[in-house]
Amino acid sequence: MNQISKSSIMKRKFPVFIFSALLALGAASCSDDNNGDTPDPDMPENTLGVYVLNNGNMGKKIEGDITYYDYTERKAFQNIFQNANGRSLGNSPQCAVVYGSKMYVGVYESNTIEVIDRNTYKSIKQIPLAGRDASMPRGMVARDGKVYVSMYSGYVSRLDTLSLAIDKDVKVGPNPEKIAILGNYLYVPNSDGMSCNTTGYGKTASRINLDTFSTAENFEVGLNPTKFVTDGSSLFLLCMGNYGDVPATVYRVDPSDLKSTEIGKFTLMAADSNYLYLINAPYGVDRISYQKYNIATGAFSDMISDEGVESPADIAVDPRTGNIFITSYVIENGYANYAIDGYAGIYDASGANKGRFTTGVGPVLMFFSMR
Amino acid sequence: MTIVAAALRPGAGACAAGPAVPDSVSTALQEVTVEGRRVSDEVRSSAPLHTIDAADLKVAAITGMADAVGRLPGVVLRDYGGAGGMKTVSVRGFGSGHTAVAYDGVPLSDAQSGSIDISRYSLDNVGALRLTVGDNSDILMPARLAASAATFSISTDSPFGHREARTSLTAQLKAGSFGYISPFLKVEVPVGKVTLQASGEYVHAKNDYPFTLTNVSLKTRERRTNSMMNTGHGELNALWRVAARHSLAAKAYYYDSDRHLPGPVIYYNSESHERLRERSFFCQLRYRGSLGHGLSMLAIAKFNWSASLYHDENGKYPGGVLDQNYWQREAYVSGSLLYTPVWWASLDYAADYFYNNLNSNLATDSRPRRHSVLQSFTGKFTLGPVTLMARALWSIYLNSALQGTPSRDARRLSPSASVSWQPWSSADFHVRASYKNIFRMPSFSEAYFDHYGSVDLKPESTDQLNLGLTYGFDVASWLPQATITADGYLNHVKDMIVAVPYNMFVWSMTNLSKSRVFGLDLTADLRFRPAARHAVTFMGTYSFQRAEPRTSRSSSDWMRQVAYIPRNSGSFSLGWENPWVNVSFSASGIGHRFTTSENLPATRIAGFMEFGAGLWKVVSLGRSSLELRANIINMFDRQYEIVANYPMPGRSFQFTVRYEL
Repeated sequence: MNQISKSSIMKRKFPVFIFSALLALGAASCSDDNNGDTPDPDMPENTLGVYVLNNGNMGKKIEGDITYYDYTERKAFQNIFQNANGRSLGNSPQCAVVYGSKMYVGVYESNTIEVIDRNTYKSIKQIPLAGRDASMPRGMVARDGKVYVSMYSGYVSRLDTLSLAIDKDVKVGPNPEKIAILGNYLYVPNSDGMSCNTTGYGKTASRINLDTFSTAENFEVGLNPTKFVTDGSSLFLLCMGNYGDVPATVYRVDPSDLKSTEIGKFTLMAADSNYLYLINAPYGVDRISYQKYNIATGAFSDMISDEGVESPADIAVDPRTGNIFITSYVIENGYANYAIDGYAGIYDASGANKGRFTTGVGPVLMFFSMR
Repeated sequence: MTIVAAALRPGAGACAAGPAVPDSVSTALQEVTVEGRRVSDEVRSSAPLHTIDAADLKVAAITGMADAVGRLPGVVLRDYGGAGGMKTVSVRGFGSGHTAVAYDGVPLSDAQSGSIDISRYSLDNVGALRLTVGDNSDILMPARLAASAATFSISTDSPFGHREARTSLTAQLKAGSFGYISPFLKVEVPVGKVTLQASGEYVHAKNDYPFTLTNVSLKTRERRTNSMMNTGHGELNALWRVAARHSLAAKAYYYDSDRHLPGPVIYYNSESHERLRERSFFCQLRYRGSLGHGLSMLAIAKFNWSASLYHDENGKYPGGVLDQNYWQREAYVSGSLLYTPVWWASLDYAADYFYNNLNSNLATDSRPRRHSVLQSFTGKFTLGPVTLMARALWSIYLNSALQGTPSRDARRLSPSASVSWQPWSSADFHVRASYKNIFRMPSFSEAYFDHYGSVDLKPESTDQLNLGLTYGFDVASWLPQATITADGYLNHVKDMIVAVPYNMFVWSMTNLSKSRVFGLDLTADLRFRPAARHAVTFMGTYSFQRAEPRTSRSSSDWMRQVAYIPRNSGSFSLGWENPWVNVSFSASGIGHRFTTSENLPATRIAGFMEFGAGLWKVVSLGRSSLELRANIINMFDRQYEIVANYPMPGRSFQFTVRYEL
């Protein structure tokens, strides 16, 4: 297990600008933010590495943390939060974004947002959410000096990056998940996951005009929407279905009329400026397909040149290099083992396998470190 | 009220195992009490048997049901902490669903979860607690009690066993740390051939105990929150001694509990609004009689209703609240017939039928139901120094569901056999060996819980092999009674029911794992009489359990130690009864465990040793008596966990005043 080398982390002089892979170039290309001490975020020159947010396994007393894979050293550093802070990041971190000189991590069960210094990984502030109406963070995106956080209790909260305080909450649909920004709007999938045993999963998404950030406009989408991504001009939505007769489906959502058009049956997706990267792994074990969808032409092609990983947990594409990362659980006795460390498969833009690195337990989200 | 009295009191309660002599029933029915009976049961039993009776509870400074279970060898208690935390019993590496729990001779059941929460049962009215691993040596019993790998029996202090009925009143008040208060009242009145008994207790506790949270290198002092409980239980018993060797016992039981659930400790977030109301009612009839011509019979009828009403408040739920309510019912009848044609042979046939159903307020409820028919054929033979017992249990479980697909049915034959050999007639030394093959059915939760249960589940099967030595002896007047037992065992579990992920969101239950357990249980029970009016009691246990996952060589848990099973555990107690103030001291501990069968270093839970002590005095007030007792629990304030993220209470005190008329 790699111990973090603090010197190697501290050595990096330049604050890096990182954004969630969920949003790919969406947030960055639309951003005119020059807040604080960051270099021009519109022009990231280079990717330093990739972060993996590990959910942990609360029932087995395994806490969540962050793995950092450094491109130059070709090495993974585990538990970087715990090593820098002498305390746990918390239980079930679910979302993260890097913005300006800081990294923001939403920790779902602990019900906190950790604001972390990007260079030292020291916590700058822990924002407790327990007791608030808007709480239990699930998704994050940053723009114009604000970090937007979808809250499982049915809100999107706006965190001001100067005061490091939540300055506004907007009610959306039930149990929102991973959010994205396109144009002037924040798009929110309302999964309604807590109704799955009663009225069933949700079929709506919300969008909020960021100029006013006051009310949400709801619109119809597929069953169980869980993730919006954008390539900077188009909007895509992953709907997980009901894990039964309605399969997980990816749609293109037209921002002008909010109508959905099906792209295909997939369970994971990421986007860069040219492609959607799609994985269909409905049962985690067999029948995993990895495809690339050309956003301009609508043509599908193979994403990778080998058989991929065992049980995909997340996919992310480096917007500068086109490197593809796919995190995975380890399959044992035919099933994913959720108690042991996972790993990430590394592929170059052509889909060639470039190795893998070990992550923590439950590698549910990746995002990049760029400068 | 000293050791002798304790020894004189046999295992109370109607399910008491019979003595080794074949005409056990008639002996029991004649209410003959034999000195050292309790001990002789443990020594002569052909399968491991361990008893804690009411007197032991005091001399061993036992303060609660969980504490009592922790003193039994080979047992792993799963304890969620505090008076309100759920507690289940696992024996010798088997899951808690493999331990049957009987209350006054009749099995308790929870078809929903498949295991019994023993925290519901208090020690206030306990006559004896008894753990049988494998087959009970009393063969006149319901087939259902033969259908588990182990049986934990709670026998109340009632006239149904062997003690004389008398008009009496018992009033007790117990108070303790963390806002614990519990009154208990019992009245017993003989009316002709009928003895009536009513008892009830109530417990209120805040359970807001402090604990130390270790967060990497940060240590903080925290308190359990949202942990208040109000629990009550009332019971009516009637025993009708119809004639000599014929008795009919009736019981009506009601339990009601309203608990706030503190949940697991989550870093930085102690907010919890979970509440659980549990209600249960049962009534049972139990007839035991001798029919002449070597025939005896036992008949049982029971009806059980229980409700589990879960409520949570959280913004993530529709409308901000979640209510999950479950109701289950059971109807149960059992009949057994014992035939003892000659003194050295007895044969028993038992047939049980029970019906269980479950419904809930969930939209996805499939309303499962199960018909179960169990039949057992048992033979027991005493051939000189050898006692042999063999049983075949034929089980039929038929499942149906009002909506959706029912779970798989099961029909199985389960054999078991045991032998006990006394090589020298002059010494109470026995060699014993036993084998038992048995399985448990999937619980309704495992089979039907939405997005989780699987109707394709097969039963989880177990095999157990035990080889033991027992020795009961008396050295001199200063050590009139001593028992030592040593048992080694080899168990197998296959088709273990485990939760596996289909993907991140959907988990399901499947028959996947296999494990092999070998272990050793040692017990010593020494009762000294150093001088007149002085008695010193030592009870000690040590257990070693090596539980190896053996599902697949390629998996990372292969041959490590099964999650939550400690390799080492043990306990001892020392009690000194004297004319002044009786003193007892106890210690129990378990070694480290892991929350994962992969034994990942980060998932290690440290072992612990917990110490307790008690002082008590019985003051005679003419016809009545007053007992005062003070206990200190976890006296060195050791911080430990049994279940991950559920810290246990530190040092606490308990004071008891008991008045008996």
